[in-house]
Amino acid sequence: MTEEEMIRDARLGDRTAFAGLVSCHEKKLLALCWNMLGDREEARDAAQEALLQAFQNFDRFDDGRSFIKWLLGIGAKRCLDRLRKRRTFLKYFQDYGRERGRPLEAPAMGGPGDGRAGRLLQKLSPRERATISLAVFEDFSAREIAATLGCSENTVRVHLFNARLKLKKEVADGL
Amino acid sequence: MACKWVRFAYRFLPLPAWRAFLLDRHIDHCPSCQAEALDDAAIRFLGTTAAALESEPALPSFPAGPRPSPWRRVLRLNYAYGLFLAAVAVGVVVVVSRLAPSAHPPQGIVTVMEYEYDARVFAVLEARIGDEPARPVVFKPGQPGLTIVWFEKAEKLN
Repeated sequence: MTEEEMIRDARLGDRTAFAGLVSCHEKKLLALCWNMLGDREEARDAAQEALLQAFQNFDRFDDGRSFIKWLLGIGAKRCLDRLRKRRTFLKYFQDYGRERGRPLEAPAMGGPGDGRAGRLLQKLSPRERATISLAVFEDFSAREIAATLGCSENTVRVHLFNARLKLKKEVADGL
Repeated sequence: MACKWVRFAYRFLPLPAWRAFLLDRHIDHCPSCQAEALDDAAIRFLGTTAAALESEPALPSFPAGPRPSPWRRVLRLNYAYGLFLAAVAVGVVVVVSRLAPSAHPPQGIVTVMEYEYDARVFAVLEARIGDEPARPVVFKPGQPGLTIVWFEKAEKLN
């Protein structure tokens, strides 16, 4: 069964076709979430949410687009949501700890690579992380990233450049 | 120095599209700027790829219920949307009530005094439309034997 046939059947509500479609791409989705969130379990949860959202909104999928890019776009947005919530959550607990005279440290998020290298991606801002994950690991163009994240192409280029500068500096500092 | 200025402008200044394009070209082709940024091959070492996750167990199949119908999604209102609709509805009601002619025009009262010597002659003593004073307006269209008298609110005539 080709991808086009699976998409057509999934659009008619065939769950098996959707599952087939997903099984071809779920590792890519998981890799994106892992790169963005830096935590295996959280990445699996985010990928699961993205799949559910994709299934529920499948009638909005435009046949002219690539399915994997549509799915990865949903995944990136889910991860950005999680990163935003994580920041709020950490801020709350740090404030709470400060009030009690024992500031809490943010938990170190490990990356998917070897220990330190994996953590370098987590030094970037959420938007920079999303941009670099989509551009470098998933070959999205600046226009596709802009459409996914809801910003201009210029902003995407600046995020990319900033991310590259930061990573270069971090790598250089580590040597 | 030029490269530093370019990088500063690129990162921190809002740029028109054509200037951003020129800076893009500079950054893509300038060895000095490229040296400041980490290249794609090196970045790929920092993350993971689908190929590296082959041994990762598959995601559990989710208990997805039936897909919600598009209509249901369209009709799903959140608070902001509901408030917006309510405000629009109130606005429409106010505008329509001001513009549309009232279904029940205000009652008018005209008190006249007829002259006994000639039934065709009368004098208007008082005229009111609703609670407001009204004035008679006499119109002779030029047709013999035809005179039209109507009343308008006094404020309209001023």
